[in-house]
Formats: sequence, C-alpha cells, structure tokens
Amino acid sequence: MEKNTTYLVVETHSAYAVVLDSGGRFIKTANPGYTVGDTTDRIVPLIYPQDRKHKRNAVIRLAASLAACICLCAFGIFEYQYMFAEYGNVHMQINPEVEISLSRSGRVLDVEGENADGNALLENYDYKGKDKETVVDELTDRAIEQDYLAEGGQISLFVDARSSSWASRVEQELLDELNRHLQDHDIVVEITVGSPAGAPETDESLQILDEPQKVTIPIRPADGEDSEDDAKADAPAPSDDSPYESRDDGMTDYAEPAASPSSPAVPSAPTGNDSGYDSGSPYNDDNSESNSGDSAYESVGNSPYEENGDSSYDDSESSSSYDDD
Amino acid sequence: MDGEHDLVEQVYTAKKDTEAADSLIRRYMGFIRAETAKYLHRAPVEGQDEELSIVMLAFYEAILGYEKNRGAFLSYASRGIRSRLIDYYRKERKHKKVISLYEPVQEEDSETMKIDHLEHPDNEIEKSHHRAATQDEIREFEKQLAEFGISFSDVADNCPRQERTLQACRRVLTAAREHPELLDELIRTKKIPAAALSDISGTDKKTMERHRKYLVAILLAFTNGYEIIRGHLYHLS
Repeated sequence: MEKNTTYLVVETHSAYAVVLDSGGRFIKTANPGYTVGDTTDRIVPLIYPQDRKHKRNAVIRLAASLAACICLCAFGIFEYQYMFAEYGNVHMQINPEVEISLSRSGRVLDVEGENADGNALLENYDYKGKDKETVVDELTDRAIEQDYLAEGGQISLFVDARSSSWASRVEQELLDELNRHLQDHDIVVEITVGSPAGAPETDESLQILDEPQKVTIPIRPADGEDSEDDAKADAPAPSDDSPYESRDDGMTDYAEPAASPSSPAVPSAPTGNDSGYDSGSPYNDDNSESNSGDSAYESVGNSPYEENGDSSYDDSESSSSYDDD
Repeated sequence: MDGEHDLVEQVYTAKKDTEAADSLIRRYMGFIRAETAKYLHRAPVEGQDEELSIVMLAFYEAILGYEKNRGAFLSYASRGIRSRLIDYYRKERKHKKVISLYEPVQEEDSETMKIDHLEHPDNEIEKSHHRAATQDEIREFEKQLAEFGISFSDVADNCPRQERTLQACRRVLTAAREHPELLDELIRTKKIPAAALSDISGTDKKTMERHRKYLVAILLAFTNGYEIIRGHLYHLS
C-alpha cells in the first residue's frame, strides 16, 4: 500500500462502509460513523473468509515445506553415509594381500595392496563404481591370470566392520559369490572366511584384555594317595594343627612359615596319604621327579608331610616351621 | 431449535444479500452491544467507541465465514469478535501516540501552540460545500454503476486483493485512458471491450473477466464527469 493513502467513503452500511482508496481499491471497512463523502486516512479493513483460509494454508504450506526440507536433508545424510562413508574392510589374502574398503551398501570405496604382490595385483585396476562382489571376482580373475592362484590354492577372506553381523553377512555373501564364480572357471580353490592368524585384534577384544583379570587358583593338600574323604576324616583339629592358632584374646597370629618350595599359604598339614592332587599331579609319589627327594611333598625322607599321618607341624616339635612363637 | 435453524437460514441469506446482512445486524444489535460491553466493561456508545464498529465488522465477517458444520452461529460469531478485538488492541498499542494540541509546535517557541495551526472554523463552510459536491458525484457514480447492475459493495468484493492482479487491472485502466473510444464503447454497450483492452494492455482476458465489476467501476471513474473522484485517485495519475 502506497504512503499517504487516503480513503473516500462511497457507501455506508450498519456494520461496514465501502471506501475508495487513492490507489483505486474499493475496500470494505469498519464503520465508526462515517457518512458518504467523508475522507479518512486510517481504516480497519474487512478480512474475507477466503483470505483468512489462504493465509492459514500458506502457513501450513510453509511448515510442510520446511518439514520436507528437513526430511530430505536427513535422508540425504543417511544416504551419503550409506553409499559413500567407509563402514568396513575386506582383507583378501591369496598370496597377494588386498584390503577393500566398503560402504555400508557394499560399494567399493578404495582398494589397497597390503604387500608387494597385492600392489602388483592392483596395478591398473579400476574399482570405481563397482560393488564388492564384482571387485572380489575380478581380483580373483586377475590372481589366476597372474599365476598367483592355481588349482588347489587358497583364498582367505576376513571382514572387519563396526557391526559384527554386517561383517559376517558380507563374509557369507562374498564366500557364496566366490564359490559361484570359481565354479564357472572350473577351478578348485579353498576359500576360508573369518579372522586370519595375523589379523589385527578388534577393539572389542582389546577392551576385554584391558579389563582387570582375576584368577582364583584353588590350592589343595598335595600329599599321598588318600582320598579327599580320608583327608577330611583324618584332619587334626584346627586348634592343634593349624598354623593360624587362635588364642583366648581372639586374635590369630600368623607365624612366619619355614622356607618351602610350595605355596606358603598351605592352611594345614595334611595327614597320612591324603592328597588333593590326583595321580597325574607332579607331586604324586609315582612321579619320578617327586621321588627324587627334592619335592616338599615327598612321601618319605625330607617331606614335612609324613606318611604315618602325623603332622610335622606338631606343637611339640621345636623344628616346626609353624611355631607358636 | 427452530430459532437456531431460522438464524442459520438468515445468515446464509445475508451472505449473498447486503440488505439482508444489514437487517440481521440490526436485529442482533443487542448481542453486538453485549459482546462489546464484555471488553469495555461498560455499555458502548455509538459513534464514540470504535470497539463497537469493530465488533459490528467482526459480526459481519462471521456472517460471511459461517458454515453449518461450525456449530451455533452466535458462539461462532462470539469467537470471531474476540479474535478481532484482540487484533485491534494489539494494533492500537503499536500506534498509540497521543499528542496534546496544547503543546508548543517547536520547543524554543513556547507561545505558539499546535491548536493555533488548526484550520480556521470559517473553512468548515467550504468543507461542507466540498462534501456536498463529493456526495453528489458519488451518488451519480452509484447510479451509473447500478445501470451495470453493480453496487459499491459488489465492487469491493470483486476488487483484486493481490498486488499482481491489481497491477494487471491498472494496466487495463491505463490502456483505456490512452484510448478514450474504448471508454465510450463501455458506456454505450455496457460491456467491457475485453478483446481490445487485453490486446493493448497485455492483461489476460480471464483476469479481466474475473474482476469485471471492479474494472467497470474504475473505468467509469475515468469517464467524463467524476473530477472529485479522479482527484482522489492521485496515486493512479
């Protein structure tokens, strides 16, 4: 609307007046008491229902357009990542080692040789715009042509990716594809899939190894051929034989044990022939090594664990390694 | 129930007939005043409270926009009135600049008041003569429009509200003013020489047909005899 617009009242009704503005528009406006022929410079124009609807529709259209743009952008980003962002790698070992970078859709983004033969295999090879199956087939063909792969040869495939399910699916697809492809060539080749010996450790495995490890090793009496039941039956009362003797004051003193090749944490001296170790134990009497007399668990001789069932850790013996003093 | 049904019938008649609309508005002046009083917190005074004219306009807008599926007419009108008054108060707050007539025109000249610069009362006579002449001309214009079966209300309803369409109609007017024989043809045949005007102005015939009533009115205003109205249309000169 032009500046300095004035309005000439040309018709009046009870609810509205018709005015002619200086730009040639006829407008219905509120009638605060106009008479025909009056001139005014300010009006309150009538809003037609269709204009109101048009305005509302325009707002809806704008909102819908914005929503469509956002959806399009989101879809574009997703599609870009699906098609062009690296998602996983296929390590293909014939003798030439080749690494094929894949997008999530299976599109080949890059191919690199991992050794000299791999580089030789990829020389003048154009992988652009090809899918993973085509590239694997073509590299196999090239390997056959360049005598890297012959009857009875081996192809190893390993896929590492962010998603293990995706990796295993790709492995399976490539395996099926190679089988089909090599059948056409009438050549028998062994194809293995999965982690190769020299494959780098995945983040997941590294994470597991990073965690603090706790191993509990049960230590049992290492003497004689007696069964565990006998050992339980013959075991002396803890008050007599235990190196952890309790006192009236409620405190347990841990006396310094005598030097011993076995674990110093042996809780009590076993009696008789009972042993926690089975016949295969290196501490068994039958074992020639233990019979030599070097073992602390010898049945005779210098073992502190005597065969007769009496503990060498007797209170009366001054030579006891677990002395009360 | 019958009363509500009658009212809906009257509203549907009033949509097309301005006289019926005026009649309906007069009959529901009590409702209109009551709605205005809700916002003014007092009885409105006709000719003094602008809110009353806004509420009447909103009531008329409700007549034009009402559909049977929108519930009872009076509650529909009440909602429209409320929205219109909220819009009005919002706009008024923006333009609320009250200037006293008893403040100096310039700060250094404290003796000359703004009221001294108002037009002399003697000019009222001249203004009254001018108004009478304007009214005569408008009446004559109205009569001539009636010969085409058109009223000012029809013209207002048919007036283009989009700037692009308005510009197209202005091109038609410019073409007609450059070829006065086409204006004579309009008066003689009571029909717009659409083909000739479309060729000259480049405006689509369909656009001209869609805004026929408006074009008749604006073309008639530029025929002989409407000097005051033409003088008012200074943005078209």
